Amino acid sequence: MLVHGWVVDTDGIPVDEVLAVYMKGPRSFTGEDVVELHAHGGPVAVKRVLQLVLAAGAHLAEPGEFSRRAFLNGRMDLAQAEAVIDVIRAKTDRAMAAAVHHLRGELGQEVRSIRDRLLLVTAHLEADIDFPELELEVATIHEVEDGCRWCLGEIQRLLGGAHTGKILREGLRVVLAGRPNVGKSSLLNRLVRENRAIVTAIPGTTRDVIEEWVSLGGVPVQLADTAGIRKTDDPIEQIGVERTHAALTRADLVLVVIDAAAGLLSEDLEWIRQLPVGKARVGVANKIDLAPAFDRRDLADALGGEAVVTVSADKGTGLETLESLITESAGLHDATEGLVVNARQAEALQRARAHLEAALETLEAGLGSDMVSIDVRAAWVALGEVIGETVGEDLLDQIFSRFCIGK
Amino acid sequence: MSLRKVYDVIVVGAGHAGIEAALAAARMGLRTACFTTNLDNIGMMNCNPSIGGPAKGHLVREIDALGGQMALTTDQTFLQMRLLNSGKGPAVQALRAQVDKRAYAWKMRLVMEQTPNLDLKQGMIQDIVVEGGRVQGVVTATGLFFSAKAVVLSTGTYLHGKTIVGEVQRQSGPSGMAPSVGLTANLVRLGFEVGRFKTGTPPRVDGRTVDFSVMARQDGDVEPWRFSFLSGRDQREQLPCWLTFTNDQTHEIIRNNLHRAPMFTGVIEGRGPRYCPSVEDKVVRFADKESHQVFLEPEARESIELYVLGLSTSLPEEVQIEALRSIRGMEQVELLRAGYAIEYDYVLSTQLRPSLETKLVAGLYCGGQINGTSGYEEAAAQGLIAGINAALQVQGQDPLVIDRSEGYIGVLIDDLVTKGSPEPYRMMTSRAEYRLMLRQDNAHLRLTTKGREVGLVDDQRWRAFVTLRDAISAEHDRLERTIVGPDEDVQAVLRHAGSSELKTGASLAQLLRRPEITYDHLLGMGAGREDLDRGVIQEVQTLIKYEGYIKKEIEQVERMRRLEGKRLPPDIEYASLGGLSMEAREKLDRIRPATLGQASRIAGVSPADVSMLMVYLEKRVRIER
Repeated sequence: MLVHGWVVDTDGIPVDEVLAVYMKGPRSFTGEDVVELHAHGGPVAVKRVLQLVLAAGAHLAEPGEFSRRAFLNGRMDLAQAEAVIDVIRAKTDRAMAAAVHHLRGELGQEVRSIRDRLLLVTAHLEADIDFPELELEVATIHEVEDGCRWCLGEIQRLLGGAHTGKILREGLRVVLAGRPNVGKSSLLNRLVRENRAIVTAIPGTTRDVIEEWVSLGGVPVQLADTAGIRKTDDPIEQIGVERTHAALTRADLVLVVIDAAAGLLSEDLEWIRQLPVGKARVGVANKIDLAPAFDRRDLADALGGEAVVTVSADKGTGLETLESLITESAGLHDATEGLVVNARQAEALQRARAHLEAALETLEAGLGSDMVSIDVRAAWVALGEVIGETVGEDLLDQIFSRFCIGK
Repeated sequence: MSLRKVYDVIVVGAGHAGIEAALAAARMGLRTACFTTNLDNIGMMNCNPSIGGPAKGHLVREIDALGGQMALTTDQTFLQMRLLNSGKGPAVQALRAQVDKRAYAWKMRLVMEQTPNLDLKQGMIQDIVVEGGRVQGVVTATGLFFSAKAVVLSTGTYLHGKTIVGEVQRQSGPSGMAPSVGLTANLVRLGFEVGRFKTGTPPRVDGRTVDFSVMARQDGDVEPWRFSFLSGRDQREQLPCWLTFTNDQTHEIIRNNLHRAPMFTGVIEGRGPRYCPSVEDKVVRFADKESHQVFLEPEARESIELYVLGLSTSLPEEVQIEALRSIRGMEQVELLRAGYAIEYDYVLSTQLRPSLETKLVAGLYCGGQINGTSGYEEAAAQGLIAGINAALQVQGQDPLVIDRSEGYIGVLIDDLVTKGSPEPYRMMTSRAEYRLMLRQDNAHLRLTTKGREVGLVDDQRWRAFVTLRDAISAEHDRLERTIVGPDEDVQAVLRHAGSSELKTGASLAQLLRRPEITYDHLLGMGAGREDLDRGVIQEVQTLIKYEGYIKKEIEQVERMRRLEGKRLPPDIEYASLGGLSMEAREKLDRIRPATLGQASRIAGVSPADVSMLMVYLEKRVRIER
């Protein structure tokens, strides 16, 4: 219900002309009765209206309070409530799209359909146990096997979105590494200048590691330029080197930058040897405009056959290829197809998966339906935790950590 | 001397609940009286002639462990004994006995007659006397007042009973016995909410007119187990049951007479149990099923009477005869008694405390079918607990409450007082979340100590228990400690069992953990103990073989326990607690659960409501800090 009127102060003096919306619970965001006042935009008018409302007994919402109320009033499941936070914090369109999927409760629907199937499996198991005279044993074993396998497949599919979820939420960490003066800073600046830079709440932790956020093809990417690594006795520079190591350890992708004009030097090779093992890497030969004869195979060989791209940070050539290599390395699912899940949800899904695998093993070993049922039941409980339908201590922790209650 | 004695405990009813209640109170040393409308009807089995089965058998074993009577009398009077679900794992294996109804009832009366401190009385109780919120005694239909400090109501299906066969209805208890009239009105006057349930029983037929040669014979186990661990073995002859099936013709007859079926004409108002449907219900609801099982079970050793399991019905008598004669092997059958439906009043069980004392009247307890349950075993379990707690209260002691993790009895009573039930409540293993721990084989290990504490386990039973318990733990230790090497006699047994051979030494327990190896294989290696009781062997084998699963279950229990352990302060004003659904507010306010765990099991309290309560509790704690 939309009403037009005036906000007046306690003496009856008009303060602002407003539109008031009355949303009656449970058909509101939180499920409670809600009144919204739409005032004019000026800071003074809004401030005055707010003061009057607070004086009348309202209090300012705590961070996440609306989501918390909506969850507790049963308006949304936990995955949806978490999605609200993700929507607010979304860094790119793509991350936003993924969060909106959750907000619409799609993960909840997926999980509920898996749980429904498990309930059916349980019903078969229990009927066979409690009504032995019906001789359901053979049919039960088939249903349990089929059901558990189907659920495993579905969980696996959802877990495929776990990695995507992490990247979209936390960003892909890309570290530019290489000996000094190969053009790392200019490359970074170029990437930032040509793409939409993201203003982020996460501050750079050190002056020695320069971090910038950009959106590459919808993927939030954190670019970090590092101090060069070289043996040094200078204590200040020493700290820089340590921080470079730390950044490299946390990296999802390392861009190994060399100066094509100078060629592949032994110092570069030394560098490559010092990189943490097991990291995804892309070789970047910069200043290619000054060295048209550079053979990228040298660098590829040094990197053990990984992709190499030739660029010129100055001229802006080769950047598109580099960007697509970066986004490819993230290995993202299409956010519109799969559902991305967060770390908490992934942990619960993994537990459900382990229980279902155990249930199938027990079934194969012929150890009896009572032993099978214990894991089927545990899987059902774990899946419930994904959407907040099973209550546990962990859920309480989640509520308190994410919705800032009772500080 | 006064005409009437003053009693500590009076039990109303001498069915399966009343018997256990009265025996428990008397054996605990209290002056006890047990009233029944007919002394010749003590311990009647008005429906099927069997005791036990999944979950129900577990209850019987638990009753035995606590010092109850049902298991012992069943062992003395069974006609056939079978271990059901023997291929489905130790937790759901269940003992089921066909019982001689006459012998069972007769033995039960004898046990009661021979129990000191127990007076048996024929008389219908019509009123409960309450003063200042505390029970004072009971009044009989003939107007006599009997004083008692505690009263246990176990009236079964007799309260305002009405039987229905086709168009014929009469005020009656089961098997044509007198109903209990007048008590319901007085319970309502005291403020109790009562409901009405329906149950039914199949026809009984003359065994001389049945052609068994076309039916499948079902025999008892060759080496039958017993319910009580005190029962000795004997070589009695077991009687068979017989399996046949309904067919198209049977279903046709039933369908053609649905207009005369009280189940469908609106005559029957009470809600019946879904797990025990009448045959007319089965034919309507599972229309695509071509046939249903029919078991013929003996009612007594010296009788021609057979119980027709699977054909529970309230169709008119002539339709019952027609339907019966359409079944293979029963073409010539003579009906002895018609099946019937029975409606009766029950007391809503959410009005009870976990001790089975009513919240409304101190010292008044309810146990058995009056609480809306079905089954002899469920009744006996509640009767036992109600009797124990009535006695404990008179003795000034805390009540005995069995936790859900300690026994099916705990699950049963917690479900009743927390959730209530929209249909007659039957115990099922799926209701127990701690199923692997609550095995029928370890009931005595779980509960004998509790029975001893309340004074129901006598010295003889206690000594037998201690011997058994010690033998189990000694053998368990031995199997864990004894190492065998890759010797030929070991390898040969492993090969034969299709198990991989040993490369180095292994403990006997390690071998037993292999799915394909049993204790018999250890005997084959010369590493088992031939002299051990098979109950001991089974227990040890289960403990070792399923250790991993039991651990898993314990972990799950621990998680639940944390929830269980969170106490809900009695002063919570649910009505004003924001965020709770209307239904949850109303239910929580009425039931006032003691813990968060109990709250979570109330129907209508959703996980979101529980989260809300958790948040509320946590906030409260933080504010108090």
